[in-house]
Amino acid sequence: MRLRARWIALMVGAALVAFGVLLAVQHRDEPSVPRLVQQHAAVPDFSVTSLDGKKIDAASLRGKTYVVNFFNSWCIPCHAEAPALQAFYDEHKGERDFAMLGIVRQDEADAIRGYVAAEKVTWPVALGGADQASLDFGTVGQPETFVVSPDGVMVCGRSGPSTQAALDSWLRAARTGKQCV
Amino acid sequence: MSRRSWPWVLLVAVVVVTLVVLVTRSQPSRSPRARADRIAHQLACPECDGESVADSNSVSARAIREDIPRRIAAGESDAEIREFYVSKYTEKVLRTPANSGIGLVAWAVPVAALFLGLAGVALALRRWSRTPRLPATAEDEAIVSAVRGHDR
Amino acid sequence: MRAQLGYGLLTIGTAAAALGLVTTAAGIVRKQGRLLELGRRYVVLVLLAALGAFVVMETALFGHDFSLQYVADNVARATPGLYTFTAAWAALEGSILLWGLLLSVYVAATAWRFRRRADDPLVAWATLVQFAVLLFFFALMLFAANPFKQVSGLVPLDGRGPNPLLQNHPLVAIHPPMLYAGLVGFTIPFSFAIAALVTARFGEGWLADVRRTTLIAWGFLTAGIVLGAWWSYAVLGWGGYWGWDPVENASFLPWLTATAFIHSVMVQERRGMLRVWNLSLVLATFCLTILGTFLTRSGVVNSVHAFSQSAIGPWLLTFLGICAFTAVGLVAWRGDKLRAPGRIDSPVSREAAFLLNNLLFAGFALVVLTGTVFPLLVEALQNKQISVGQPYFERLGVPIGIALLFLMAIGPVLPWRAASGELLRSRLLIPAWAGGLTLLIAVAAGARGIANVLAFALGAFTVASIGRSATIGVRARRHVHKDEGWAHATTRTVRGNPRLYGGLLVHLGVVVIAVALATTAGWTTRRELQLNPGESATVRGHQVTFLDREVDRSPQKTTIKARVRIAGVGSFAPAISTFPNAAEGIGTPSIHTTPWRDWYLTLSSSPTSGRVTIGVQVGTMVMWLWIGGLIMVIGTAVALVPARRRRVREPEAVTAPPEDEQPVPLVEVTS
Repeated sequence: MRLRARWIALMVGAALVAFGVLLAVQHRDEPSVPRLVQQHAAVPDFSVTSLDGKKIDAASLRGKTYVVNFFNSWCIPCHAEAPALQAFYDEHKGERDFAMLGIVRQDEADAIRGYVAAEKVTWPVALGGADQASLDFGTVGQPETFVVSPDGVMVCGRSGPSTQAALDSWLRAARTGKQCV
Repeated sequence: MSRRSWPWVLLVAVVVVTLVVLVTRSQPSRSPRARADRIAHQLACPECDGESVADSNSVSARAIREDIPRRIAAGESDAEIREFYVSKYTEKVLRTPANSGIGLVAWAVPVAALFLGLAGVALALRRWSRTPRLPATAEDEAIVSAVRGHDR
Repeated sequence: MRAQLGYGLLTIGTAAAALGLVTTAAGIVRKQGRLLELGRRYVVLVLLAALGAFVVMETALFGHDFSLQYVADNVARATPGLYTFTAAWAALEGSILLWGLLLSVYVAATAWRFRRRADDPLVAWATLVQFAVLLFFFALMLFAANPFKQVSGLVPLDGRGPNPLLQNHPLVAIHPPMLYAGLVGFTIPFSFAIAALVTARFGEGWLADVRRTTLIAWGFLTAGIVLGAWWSYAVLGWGGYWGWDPVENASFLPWLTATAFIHSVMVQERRGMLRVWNLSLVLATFCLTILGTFLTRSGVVNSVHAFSQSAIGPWLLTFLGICAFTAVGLVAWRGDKLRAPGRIDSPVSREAAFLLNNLLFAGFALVVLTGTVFPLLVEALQNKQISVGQPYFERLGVPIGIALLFLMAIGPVLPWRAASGELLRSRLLIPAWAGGLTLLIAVAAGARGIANVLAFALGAFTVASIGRSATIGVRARRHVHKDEGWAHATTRTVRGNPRLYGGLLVHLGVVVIAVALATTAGWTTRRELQLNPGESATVRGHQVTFLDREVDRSPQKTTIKARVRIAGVGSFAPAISTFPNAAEGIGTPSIHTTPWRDWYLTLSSSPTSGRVTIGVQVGTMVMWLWIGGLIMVIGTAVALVPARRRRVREPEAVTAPPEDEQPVPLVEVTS
């Protein structure tokens, strides 16, 4: 009987130590590579409609190396990465096997039109079917960028703003079948 | 049956019958709409903190809410539908720990602790009831009556 | 200028707490009452410093002194007066200042209460612990979360304004202070528990004082939690009031253990049993408040309520470790001395019911704790993120809650020691039938959901049993004082045993809340309507019409309001506001509340023209959640009223709790 309180206290103490270690080692870093990219999953069979009414889907883009960028008008990091995207697009838009597509995440048509005008976005931007596409790609925020290889695999990408250098290296990797950095 | 116990017997009968009716009636509905609603409550909105797909107004929650009825119509089971969203968004999309692996710990720890506690209390009560109070001796009775006498 | 003044006051507070600590320690070591008396006086200095610092903060906020980082971050020139005032606790540094102020008030009040017992070693040790906790929180402000930090570089011309969620409902003025007054208050029972363990003084004398302080803190915490739920419902716009969010759980955990203590302490007072358990509950309650503060303020868990995160995590974790190890170590050291020779004679007795009650409350706390920290465990062990939410807590928590409701129905009528079948049959027949009939009526009326219907039935059971106890008490009084009217006799009866009747009133509040939880869980309709201006849809037989929208642009925010009319209910204006300092739009729900029905409208998407999406939620009896909370707080206040001294020779039936007093055998010999 005498020992009982001690044993219980000892067990509680041990549990506390474990618990304390657990709390102390916590470090929360959000994964910066989208899950489907980590898995090198096949690009989902998405289908969206651009602001000027054109239908764009996975089938029509097969054989190209293309970039899909999820964004909206009120997201501050999206504004931040817009110049990089623009420069990247201008650099590659002449290449025959290249395409780029912006898909809107949680925004209104008039706001997006304003954004496209203000940031001088020249690549196709899709609003119709955007919610479903956002589910297909498993996005959890904006901006989120995916680079798809000619054989339809999501090889590279990032949750959060991307730089022009990163986009260039991903495009190269997607074309040559190398690993992304 | 003694006269005093019939109200209790009647009460127990009423409660048992009513509970049976209640339990049969409260079986979860299998209608597509009820199923969709239930699944939406079981899924966490992938881009929010703590809100369910049913509650959240975010893009992913809205898209999942629209997607679930389509999958139900396509004949997928509840588990298959949940599994699909796990494949898209990782296990973070489920609002309960898994029923296997480490998830079991979350279920087992509180339940086991509660039952251990109940067992402990039951054991203690049994031990106490097995060791009856010592009957008061004549000496004790004398002390009591002396004290009582003092009091009055 | 204010920065130096505020920081200076905090330095004085820290120094006074440190001096108080050292002086008290010296007094204890040298056994000198003079030193203890001197040490106690530093409390006044700490209180004045905390009060001064708080006043400096408020003048800085109202004076728009943007040279202070905190002011620049949390108010703007255009912020209305009320939210300028509440900005003092709108972010981490300020809320720690409020925490420190409330703690000083508690410590000073305790010092005043024990002013004639300053040289009592028990009180001296308790004071020592209180100084240590004060020192920690003041040092935290000085070194890790300084509320008077100056901006680096140019002083901004205007501030950023409070978080949008903290400037659109007056509840932010009372919810956080109530919550803190609850959480902070558990420091006092903790200090006395430590003192009792150190001095090995387990006499019941200190218990009464600790019980009162615990009850005060518990009342504030209850109010804080209920107001928090109300705020959540009125502001966050998801239609719910409790989301099992880590921040909510952090305040619920100490509430559960404190509730367990308030009940089990009665077993100790009556029977001298459960001493180790009661001390452990007090110690655990305090440690859980610190754990909760750590979890929500250090950023280890994600939460919708976590408005402020910073680098104070390691500080709080270290402090938590010290507190927990001191507590566990002391219990291990003294635990065996504490064991009382006691026994529970019958499983059908008040003390057995309390034992079960404590088991259930502890189990509930374990459920909440496990659910809250489990994602951390999985992340540490398997490096993957999972979430634990409402379905987990409800699947485990609801059965426990139902069991507690059942205990609440029968517990208060059980006599101490042992109950005869005869006694129980006569006391419980009417209440049990009230429960049974409610069950029958609810099921006949077509109600679904086992837990919801059981909540109604057990609620009716409890109310009938409370009503029975109260009626018997008042009748007994009128039997003796034939001239008294019912109202007068009721007041007198309650004054005669405020603890009993206050407790019963709290139970009544719990029933009201339980019923409202069941109605809101089981009888809520939700629809999402997509309407063009002028279009209508029908919800629950009412025509919902979207009239038009109003766009209001100001420098602080852009608000889009949808004007909606619901036939037979009224006009609504759910809105979405976009603030320059927040990325996403903040929705403002528009609510029409009646005792029976709540119409809750939200604007889900906000184009400036064309179709809108309006969320319509029809809830049942939501208002009773807050009313139940109010009843609980009033009950707590009643229970705190000192009992009238029993006059000698007054007939037993008048002053004694109506049927608490079973003849207690004078001789008890236990083996």
